[in-house]
Amino acid sequence: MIDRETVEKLAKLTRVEISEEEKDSMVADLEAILGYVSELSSSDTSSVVDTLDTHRNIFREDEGAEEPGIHTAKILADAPRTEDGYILVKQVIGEKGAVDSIR
Amino acid sequence: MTDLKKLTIEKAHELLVNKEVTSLELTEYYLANIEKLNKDLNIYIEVFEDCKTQAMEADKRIAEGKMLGVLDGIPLALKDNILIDGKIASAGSNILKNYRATYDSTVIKKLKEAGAVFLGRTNMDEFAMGSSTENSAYGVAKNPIDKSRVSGGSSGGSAAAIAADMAVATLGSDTGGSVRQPASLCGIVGLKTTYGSVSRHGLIAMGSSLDQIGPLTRSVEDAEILFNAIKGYDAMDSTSVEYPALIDLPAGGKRIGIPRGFVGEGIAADVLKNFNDTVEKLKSKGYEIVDIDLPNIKYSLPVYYVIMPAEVSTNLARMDGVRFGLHVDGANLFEDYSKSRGIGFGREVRRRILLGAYVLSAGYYDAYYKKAMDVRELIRGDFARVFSGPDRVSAVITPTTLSPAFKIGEKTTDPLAMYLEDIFTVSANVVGIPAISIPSGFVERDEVSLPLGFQIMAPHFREDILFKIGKDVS
Repeated sequence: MIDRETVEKLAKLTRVEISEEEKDSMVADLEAILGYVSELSSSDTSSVVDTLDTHRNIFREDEGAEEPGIHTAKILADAPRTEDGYILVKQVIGEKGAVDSIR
Repeated sequence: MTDLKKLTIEKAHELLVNKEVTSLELTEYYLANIEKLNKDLNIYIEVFEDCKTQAMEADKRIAEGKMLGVLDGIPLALKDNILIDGKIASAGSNILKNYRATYDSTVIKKLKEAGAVFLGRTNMDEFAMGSSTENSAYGVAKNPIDKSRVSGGSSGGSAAAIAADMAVATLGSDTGGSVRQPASLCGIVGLKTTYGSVSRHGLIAMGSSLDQIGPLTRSVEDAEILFNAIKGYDAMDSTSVEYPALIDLPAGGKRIGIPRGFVGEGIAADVLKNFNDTVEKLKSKGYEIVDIDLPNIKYSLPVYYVIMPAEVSTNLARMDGVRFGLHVDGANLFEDYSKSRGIGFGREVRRRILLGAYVLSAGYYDAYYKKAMDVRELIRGDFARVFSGPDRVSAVITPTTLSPAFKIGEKTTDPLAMYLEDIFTVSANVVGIPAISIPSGFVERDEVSLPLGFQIMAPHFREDILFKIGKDVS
């Protein structure tokens, strides 16, 4: 069920580059793990009530905001590339091939 | 000179109170052991340069009669995934090798208020994924009892630090057994706390419906002390709850259950004998031991290997090489992401991210993720049933692992063999109940005596039962 094409698709979706050499062993590993967890299909879960229905809102109130900018320097210090107090990313809109490549 | 070997928190506190030792002397004792052994054992990733300053501050408080409590001046170490403001927390990963925390995690805030001294951060499997620390970007943390063997994982460094006498106690995190399994392999106590009892704010997330911070200690009493210091409601963790006031005595009195149908499989004969010896010991202490049936417990590990990777793939999406962490430059933004993540993450992490994306993807979601969530409810139901009704038990016991510490490299090529390390521990995470591993003696391997542990599980918020039984057999 897992083949190189599946691994390539997952790698693209998750933005995790997988080297050519690793693809085959990744296929084998994923196959083995999925084979193991497929044991679950033998379990009768017809009695289970859909757990999604039991969820409730657990967000805290968005209040008590701190003074803007007091953590900026510290947070920016962790960013690999910055400019004038901003975090720098490559151009997305208008760059040839950029939008296609993230689909 | 006072003997400082293998001190418990209780004993170290007593020495500090009686002015037989200072926090600085304690700290220097551990620093000397780290200096002597760490190069070989690879237990600490970093020793904090300010730990002596922290100790001197504690000594000042103690000298002025302003001691903060039992943890004041006690040198502790922390797993590398717990944030301390201004210090690097890398989760054992290349992608966060230079990530400097910008705030204190809630557990650190609480421990700072209690006066604890932080010696450094300990080695772990990358993003807490593994059972041996062999997945650490810093290399394996060796077992101090036998250097050719692993210290367990993922909190292997936190367990080994105690076994090698490099700290009084430590904190780890447990998603499927990551506190209890290394505790067992290193011959110490490890507590996985009730889901929601200890805030995960500032813990680098792995599987958010499973993760819990817990103490690793030399004694059950110490585990209780640390647990009491770090537990409690925190608005910064949406899964955090107010710990209920102690209800009453153990729900099922002195009755303890063993899922016998589950415990016998794949276990070494001497490990099973060791477990049965513990059972006899419990009986001699007046406990009634009964066989119980948890028909769905066999599904716990497969459930875990669907839900956990699903949560991993979403949690680790924040590692983008843009806002923090390793950045590897590519031709465009897509390549920046995929190269930073492809190079920054190790093999096991890459494997789990891909697996998680697979079980969550359209067409497979119902067969894997939804199914696993449903079976999780069945397992929850199993435990709820044995913990209630007229025949209820107050605890369930199993061995912590199938075998003692294994050789370095023995399981690195077979992910499923490694995953089986969590076979007994993972149910507590799936269900959210508290569980503890307690040393239960030794077995021989290659003429070396290796420690084993046994595990006690109790109903939600009944850590008191774990401590009570644990003290009775320690």
